[in-house]
Amino acid sequence: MRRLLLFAGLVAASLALTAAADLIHIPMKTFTLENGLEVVLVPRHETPIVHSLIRYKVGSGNETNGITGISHVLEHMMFKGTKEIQTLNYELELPLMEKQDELFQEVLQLRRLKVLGRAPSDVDDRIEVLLLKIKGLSASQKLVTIQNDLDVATFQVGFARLGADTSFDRTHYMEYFPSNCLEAWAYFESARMREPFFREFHSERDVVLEERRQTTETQPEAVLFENFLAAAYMAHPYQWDVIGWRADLENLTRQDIVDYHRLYYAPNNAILVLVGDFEPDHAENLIRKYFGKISRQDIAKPVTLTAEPAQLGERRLTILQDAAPRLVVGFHRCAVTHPDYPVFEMMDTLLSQGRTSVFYKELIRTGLAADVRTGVWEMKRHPGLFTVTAVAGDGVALQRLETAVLDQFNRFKDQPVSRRELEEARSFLTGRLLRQLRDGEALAAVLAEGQDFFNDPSAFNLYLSRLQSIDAGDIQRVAREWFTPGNRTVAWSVPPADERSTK
Amino acid sequence: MIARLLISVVAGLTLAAATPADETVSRGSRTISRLAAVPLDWKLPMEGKDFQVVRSKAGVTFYCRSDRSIPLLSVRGVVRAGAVYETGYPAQVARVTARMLRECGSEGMTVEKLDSLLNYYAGNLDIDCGPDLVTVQATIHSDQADTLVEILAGLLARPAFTQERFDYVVQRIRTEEDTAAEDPFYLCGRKFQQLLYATHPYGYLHSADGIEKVTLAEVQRYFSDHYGPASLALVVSGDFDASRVLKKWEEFYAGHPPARETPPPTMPEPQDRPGMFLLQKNINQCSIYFGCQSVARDLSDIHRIHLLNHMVGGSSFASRFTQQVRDREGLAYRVDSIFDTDVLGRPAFIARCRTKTDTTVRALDAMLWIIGLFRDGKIGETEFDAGVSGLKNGFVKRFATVEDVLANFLMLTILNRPRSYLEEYQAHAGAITRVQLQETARRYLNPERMTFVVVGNVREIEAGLKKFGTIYRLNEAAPASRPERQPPPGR
Repeated sequence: MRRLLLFAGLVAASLALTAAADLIHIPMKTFTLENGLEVVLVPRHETPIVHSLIRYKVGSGNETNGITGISHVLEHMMFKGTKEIQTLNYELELPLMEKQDELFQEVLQLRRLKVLGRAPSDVDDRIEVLLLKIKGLSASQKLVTIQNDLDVATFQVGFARLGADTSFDRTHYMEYFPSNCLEAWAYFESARMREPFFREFHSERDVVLEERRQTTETQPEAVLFENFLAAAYMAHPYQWDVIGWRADLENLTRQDIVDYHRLYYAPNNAILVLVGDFEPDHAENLIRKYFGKISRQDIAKPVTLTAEPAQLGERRLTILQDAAPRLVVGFHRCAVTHPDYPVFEMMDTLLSQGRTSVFYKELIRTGLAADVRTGVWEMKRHPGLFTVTAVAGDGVALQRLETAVLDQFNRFKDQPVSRRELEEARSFLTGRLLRQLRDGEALAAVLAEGQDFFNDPSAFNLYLSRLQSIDAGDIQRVAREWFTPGNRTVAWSVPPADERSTK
Repeated sequence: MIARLLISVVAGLTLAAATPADETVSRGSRTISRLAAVPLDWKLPMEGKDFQVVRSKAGVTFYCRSDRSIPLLSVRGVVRAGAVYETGYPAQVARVTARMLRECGSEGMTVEKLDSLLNYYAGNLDIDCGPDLVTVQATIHSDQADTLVEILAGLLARPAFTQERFDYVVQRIRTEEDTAAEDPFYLCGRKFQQLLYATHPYGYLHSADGIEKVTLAEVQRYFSDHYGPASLALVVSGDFDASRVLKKWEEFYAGHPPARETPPPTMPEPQDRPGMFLLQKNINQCSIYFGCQSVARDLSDIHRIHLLNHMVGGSSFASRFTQQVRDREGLAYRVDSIFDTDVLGRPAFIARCRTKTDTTVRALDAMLWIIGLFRDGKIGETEFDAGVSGLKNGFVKRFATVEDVLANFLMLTILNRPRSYLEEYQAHAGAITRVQLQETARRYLNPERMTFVVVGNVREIEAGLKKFGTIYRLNEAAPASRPERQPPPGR
């Protein structure tokens, strides 16, 4: 059995792990294709399974007003096949899709006239009829398409569900499969990177709207967080959640998707990671054969240049919804490449991870909060947020809860944390990383993130190294710099009946 | 009027489009099949060669395999102490007991010390109560194997239950259930389970119903009766010395009372609760659960059930539910079915979906139409073959990690299945015929027996829902096994 990780030289004075954690070495093969696709291969032969992950360096942080949520919609559309997958004859589909696009342009024109106050009196009926015509054309198109062909074809040969995940800075496509399916994987993943065919756009947009209802509009915490984000940012695209605004989703066009794909889904904007039961040379040959022929593209707007202006004072808002009273307190923080980023993860651990955490002891055990969580979120490429989300305990006023939360932030500023607390937080984060490195899919994500942000798949060693060097003074310094009233946004959610008590 | 006419045209076209394409294969699909045709070089792991099974003197069963790729020791375990064993005790006692184990620490170690050690040595520990089993999951740095044994064995052999922690645990369970029920889908599932299983533990597990009757003395009695070493089986994997871990475990259990057989679980009574049960919430999406208990517990046709569920709604995007309800009609983000056969009690077929208020009836129609296709034998050969191949070729995914390998063999024991269940699984799956699939659908998927629950703005769509069964209105707070009132029959 190969030993993929080598730990050496545990410090005798302490059995804590972190002293030697920067010596982690994962054997891997890395290379970059001529078209710019960056590849990381990690062979593991314990089980006959391969995990794959393709990371595109695009997420909602690349979006602009009017097309919010498009990164996530594109993720959905990537499962709609290619010119060979999910169709009997894609050429027969083209005129039907173009006609649907034309009709949808008419819908958009009517919606614009409605906003301008110049729409005909029966505008809503006209829009409804146009949308139904689109559905009719879509149904006709399905006569030459094969529903969920990619999913069925891959499931048939042994793949687990094909998965994907969009976040603020990136979009991941991941799956795991028996090792005899490696070439089949290379075939379809390269095909949809090269020539996805965005059929079923309008019904898939309806699916995304259902997802928005499911994950945001019917979830009190998500509703509050969406409002909170919009207040915490004024200019930067982190101000909307990944799902996007409803109106933008309703008005997206298929051409928007085509253009967005062309702009961001190029091999030179992607990272490919394989972990599992394969021979690296064989895998490299397959990757060169299938992905090597995809053309490099000019990534016109690789990152947003819109910087969030400095916050000039505390921002507060209150929303009314029929749910338990709750709040979000958030502070702007640095991006992941800043040396102080791991300090925020340490504070996250100290505040809310596990039963030894401050919030568990001070808020949960005392009944002040029914639930409390902190988060550094996946806003990493640009300066993001450090947040606390808490649901008030039974009969506890939100003001009291907020004060208790802020007291703990002040504690970081006023008192140095103990050596023991620091060691525990360090080990907790190290343990979490070790568990990620053991799991094939999680390891792939860690390696891809390192490659993306630090141009080094083993960048977790930099992180571990930084964790070791953080001392109580760093915590105090960073808390004093960032956890200030002027850098703070506070959002409350109260039941409508309690509105008066918040004024 | 025009719009309504068009709706019917579109709906007709949508269903019409569903059939011809099922009997065709794309060029891409053929390529994927061809490229994956290389046989997989894999054999079912063998006890003694690929992993060890050891029964300690105290009666604890260990499944062990080393994996030195990461310096972690991992323990996963099960205790035959889930809710299904609560006969003779107050409801919820199993859940409170499992939770107490995690919150109380042991006679030799306070919970604060325990958590501090876990943090300090990069560890974690979770203990959860399920319907049948209590599950334990823990990791620690491999240099600290003794510490993890000390923590786990201490908790499972000699926990330090106190009244103060008991009060806290009960309060937390209540609070967590209240918070969870803010999610309408969770609430819908809770009501469905309550209706399907009435007062059996399967019915109240996802609620705090009855917890007020649990006392610390009952928790201690339940622990004493159900947490003996014979109830415990552990999967140990990672970078560790098996003999050392076992020795340490034996030391801890020295002097412990001899192993006793676990009392038998109580099985749910077979019952049907047909009807359409509605819970009003002012939101823009409806949550839907429907289904029924299986007609039998013997599950001699288990492979056919697996195939049926995979094809109906269990295999996610390759299933008919997703193809039709989500991708063809755009009615839902997630739609699926569950037919969990790895349970001690009577399993159930459960179908689930969330869709906006005004497409709720349409989504239900589509799901029942699909069930009808399976019952009427209208599934095409290509689709059937793809389902069978998926079940056969996907079998190896159950062994994706070293822990999974061991857990599969552990579950054979828990569920009283022979090794041949795993050895012959693919052969059995490959031998299923279309006629057998249809027979299985007719046996288990009977809409006349099904319980339907919808949570959402149901006032707006109640008239359309009547066709699925007699309407009953539920109250959010009251257990759903006692509907508030019985309005006139809706059908």
